[in-house]
Amino acid sequence: MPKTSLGVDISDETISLALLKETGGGVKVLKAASGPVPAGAIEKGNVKDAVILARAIKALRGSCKIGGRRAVVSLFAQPVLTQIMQLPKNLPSNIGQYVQKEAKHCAVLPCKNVLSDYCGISSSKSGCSRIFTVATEIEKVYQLIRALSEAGINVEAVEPAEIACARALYEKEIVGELDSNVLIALVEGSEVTLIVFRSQTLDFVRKRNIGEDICQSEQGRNRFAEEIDAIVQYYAMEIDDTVQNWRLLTVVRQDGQNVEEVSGFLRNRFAEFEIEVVSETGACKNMPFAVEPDAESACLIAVGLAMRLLDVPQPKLKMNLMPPKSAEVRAVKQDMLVAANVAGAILLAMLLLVAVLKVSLNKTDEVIGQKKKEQSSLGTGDLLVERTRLKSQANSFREEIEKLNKILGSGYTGDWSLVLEDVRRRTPEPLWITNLSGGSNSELVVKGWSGSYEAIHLFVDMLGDSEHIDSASLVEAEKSESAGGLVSYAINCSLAVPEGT
Amino acid sequence: MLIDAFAKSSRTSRIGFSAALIGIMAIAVYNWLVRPHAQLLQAAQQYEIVMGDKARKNKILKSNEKASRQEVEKLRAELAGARAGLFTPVEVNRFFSDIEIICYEANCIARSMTFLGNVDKLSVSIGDNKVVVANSAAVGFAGSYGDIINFLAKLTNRTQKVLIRSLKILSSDDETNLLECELMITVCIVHDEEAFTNE
Repeated sequence: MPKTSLGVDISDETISLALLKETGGGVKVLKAASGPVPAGAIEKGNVKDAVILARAIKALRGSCKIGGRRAVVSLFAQPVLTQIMQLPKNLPSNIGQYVQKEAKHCAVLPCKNVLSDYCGISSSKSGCSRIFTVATEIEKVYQLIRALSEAGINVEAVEPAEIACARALYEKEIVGELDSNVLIALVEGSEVTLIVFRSQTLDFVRKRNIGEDICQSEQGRNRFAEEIDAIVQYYAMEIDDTVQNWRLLTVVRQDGQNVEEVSGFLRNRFAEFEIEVVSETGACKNMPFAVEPDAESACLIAVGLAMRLLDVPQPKLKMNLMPPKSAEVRAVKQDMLVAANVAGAILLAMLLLVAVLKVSLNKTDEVIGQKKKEQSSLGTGDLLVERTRLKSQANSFREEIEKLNKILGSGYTGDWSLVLEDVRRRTPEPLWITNLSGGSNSELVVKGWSGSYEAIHLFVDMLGDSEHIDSASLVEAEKSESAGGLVSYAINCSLAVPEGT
Repeated sequence: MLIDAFAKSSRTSRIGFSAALIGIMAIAVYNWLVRPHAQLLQAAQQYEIVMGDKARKNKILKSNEKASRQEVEKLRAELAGARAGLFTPVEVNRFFSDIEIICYEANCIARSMTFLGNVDKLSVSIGDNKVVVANSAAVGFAGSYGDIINFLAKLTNRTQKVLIRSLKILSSDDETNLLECELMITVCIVHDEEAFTNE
């Protein structure tokens, strides 16, 4: 994921921004902008009105569309103590406290709340550990951070400009210079910061106000040359440095200054040295990475500041003058951001849940609608009423049929003509019927005379076989001598009830 | 002041406070936003189940209704058949007055006819404010066995039901060789209930 970092350099007259982007292909200067410090924002090297300054920074960012929230800002405060300290042989357990204590005793900082930081540099000739310390008044840094916070910039570090300058030039100008000492002079008006890199390591830092504008006056330039000379002499005499070659790199912080004139002067004065004088806004070639066409006027210091947060080759000089309270505020802000994110995530999850529930609800509604359509126009109540009505109608019909059957079905319901016809058909020859009677109890009694008992029995059997008679039984058979030996008989038949009655 | 106190508190306190705040917010949002929807969905799902159940019941009720309707139609037809076997007062008068003719048509000689009225006291109320009453008569006639059968066939072969409650055939002693037959017939007459009560 690409990482961006913003460098903010504030000087007495200029605000410079540089946005760097780190991608898989390396780092490049994406955007840069510079603008004047608005009147009333700064006074005597300190932020006077944080709101005015914030507005100016915001406007500058807006006009050039410079995004990026993570930023490193240059230390803009007065007074500042910039010093190389030689640590005692018995190293103090807490170097930070030691530095703080030393800084408080320094006349340059007449205040109680001192903010300091340090970084280790090369040891002294005698082998004592040395540190580069920077200290300033804490309130001044608060003002600076407040201005940037109001401009919507999340300051991650506050760093002296000279360290940022050294970082920006490190890869191209310092790395590989093992046979020469590199002296970087950061010039701003009458102030000059001289940094010496010996064997690629920071070895010397000196900050001087020489009283005259270096770029504008001959006298200033002479004094500047004297300072350089003094350092070179110091290395030749005091340190017995075997390295005779010097590279002198002068960075002029104010734009539109007599860079060429200063360059000519230094070349004349130090003919044996390799001299280069650049403006801080025209030092693209001295930077180790690509610069977008829009950002060719990028401020060297702003770029160096932004580089701090990126993974690029840089000197082991890390100093952060961020007040502890600001760091705490940042931690609180971070915690609150995390909490807000968690709350947001929960809210989002709930909204998603609501959306899912809504979708399910719509689907269920559709299903209900379909089921409603599928159902008949009659409701359950109507169907139940209809069922009851039909049941009662059926019962009433059944009852009526039963009543009618009761009245119509009393007695024998079969067809007497068929019964009588059948009886005639089944009557054997030597037998005649004299009396035939049937009653309501489906009985038929047949009486008559026969010439023989066999005929009677045959008749009984024949009647028994009739489909209209269930059973036939002989009730009486008696031979009568008075009737000439004829046999009188009586047969009782049970009539078959026809089906369906 | 509160913000200052929050900022000055330890990280653990801050995390705890934030977690509690987020928890309360989550519960509030859940109750305010998610729960009503969840309850609505639950209710809709229950309604859907009830609808399904109702649809199933309605289906069963509809099929039952169809079966009941068929049964009613069958009973209606059966009832119509049974009702067809009843005489109206006009028809019964005509029937009794026609018996002698029927006798004649069947080559029988009518001897007697006695109206017995509702001897069995059979009367039932049916639908449509109607009442059915049995009316009996004793019919005496003479004829050959075949003619008697013929007469009985003519008597019973009609839409209205003529019930032969008793039948007696005797050989006669005279020289005609005719058989004497005595019948007790019953017919069922349907009356308007109101008119019948007034009678």
